[in-house]
Amino acid sequence: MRFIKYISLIVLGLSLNQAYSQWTGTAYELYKNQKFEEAKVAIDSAVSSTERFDSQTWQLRGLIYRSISDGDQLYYRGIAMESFVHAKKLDSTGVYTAKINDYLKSTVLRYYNDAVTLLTEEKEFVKAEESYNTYKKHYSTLVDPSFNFDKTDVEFYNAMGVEYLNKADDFELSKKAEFKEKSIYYCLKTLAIDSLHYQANYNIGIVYYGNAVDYITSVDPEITIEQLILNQKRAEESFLKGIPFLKTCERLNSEDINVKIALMGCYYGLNNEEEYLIYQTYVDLYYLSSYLDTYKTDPTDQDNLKILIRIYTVTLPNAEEAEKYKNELHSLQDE
Amino acid sequence: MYIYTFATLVEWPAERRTGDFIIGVYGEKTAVYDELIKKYAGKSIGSQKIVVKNFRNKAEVKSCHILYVTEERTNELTELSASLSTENTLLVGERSGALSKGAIINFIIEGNQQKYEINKTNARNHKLVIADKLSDLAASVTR
Repeated sequence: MRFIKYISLIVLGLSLNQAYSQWTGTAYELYKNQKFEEAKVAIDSAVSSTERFDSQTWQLRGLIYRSISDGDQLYYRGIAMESFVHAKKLDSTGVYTAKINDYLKSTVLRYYNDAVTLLTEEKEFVKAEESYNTYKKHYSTLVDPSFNFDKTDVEFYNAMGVEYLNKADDFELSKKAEFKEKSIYYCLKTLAIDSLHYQANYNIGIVYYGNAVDYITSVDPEITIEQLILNQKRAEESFLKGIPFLKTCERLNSEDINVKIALMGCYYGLNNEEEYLIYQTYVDLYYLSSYLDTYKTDPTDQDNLKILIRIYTVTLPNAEEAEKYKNELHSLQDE
Repeated sequence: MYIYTFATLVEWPAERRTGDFIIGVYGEKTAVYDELIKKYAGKSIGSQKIVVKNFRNKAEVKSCHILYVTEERTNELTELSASLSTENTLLVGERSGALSKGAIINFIIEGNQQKYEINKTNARNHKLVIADKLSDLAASVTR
């Protein structure tokens, strides 16, 4: 994900040559010395005095409140934005407009940065989305009403999908499903904007494929026949749901081996021998040299021998090679 | 996992309800055998401990409660059915036409799903009783 990097360049446009009013001047000195709490008291006195009619006073108030790092930063950020907005109103000649807009933009972007941090570092998904929505709301009302959020929406929703999928991996099956559903929800939001988004398509395909496999493999071995049939039905539905998304990935990148493996698994699970063999052959060709290397380094690896037998029997038929590895396997099994 | 459910829904004669419960896999394709070992080795059917065996040659095939005959060995089903007629073996196939060769249960593909068909005459010949539930859920039953 591409992060919007905000580097806080505090370019205070207040001219040093200008004579400040009493409270604003004091507040400015304190601000310059990074004594933000004291600067806050001074600037609040300024806006309670006749200095409140000066746009620069409100600009400075915004910068001071924005810089306070203790306490409820979101609350202070809100006051900072109100101050910038008020400063803009007082700027009747428009001389500070560009600067105030920059202040507003960089302040609003902090909501986006918060969203990214909450999502990727703190894994606070709900708060991350709230912060992202706040960013959008303020950006469109205070910065640019015509701004198109499609690109950032795609980045953010896809990141939500990825993070929910990562979180699902940390949990047992019962809890996993909830996070996978969330992942699908956000990937679909991504695809609603960009239907050819590779990662969103891939993640949805993989989630459905994984769910189907879980229905088959992660159940109690002493399952009842009714439950077994029901799970088979659910697995079928899930494999079928995953295929269109994986096929889209395949169209976008015909060489992604993970997509080929997932499609192979889907068709295997659906008992579609014809399609399964197409993908199994592709995957076998891709990995054959590594299986042969494994055989060279460890000819007693029985699982590897079974794979080579399958390959030379089914996907890349070669009776002589199949027989060779079969004999090797049998002699190991007979030992 | 169907194999396990078959074991719970087929009744063997009393003399076969003691000792180990033997599930055999006949053929080279060992995926089914590997899966059975992984899931059921050490588990039990009633009071009988499950033992899973893989047979590569017909001569090795001995008394089993269930014998899963892999696809490439389907043509040997008739002979196996005759040789195991007194062993009360539930013969399970995985190829179209296996029931007519002596299999009692045969896996088939319908749509995208694996299902099974049953031949009750073959079951009776091996003195096995198929539970109604197993028949009811089958794709087809030959009586």
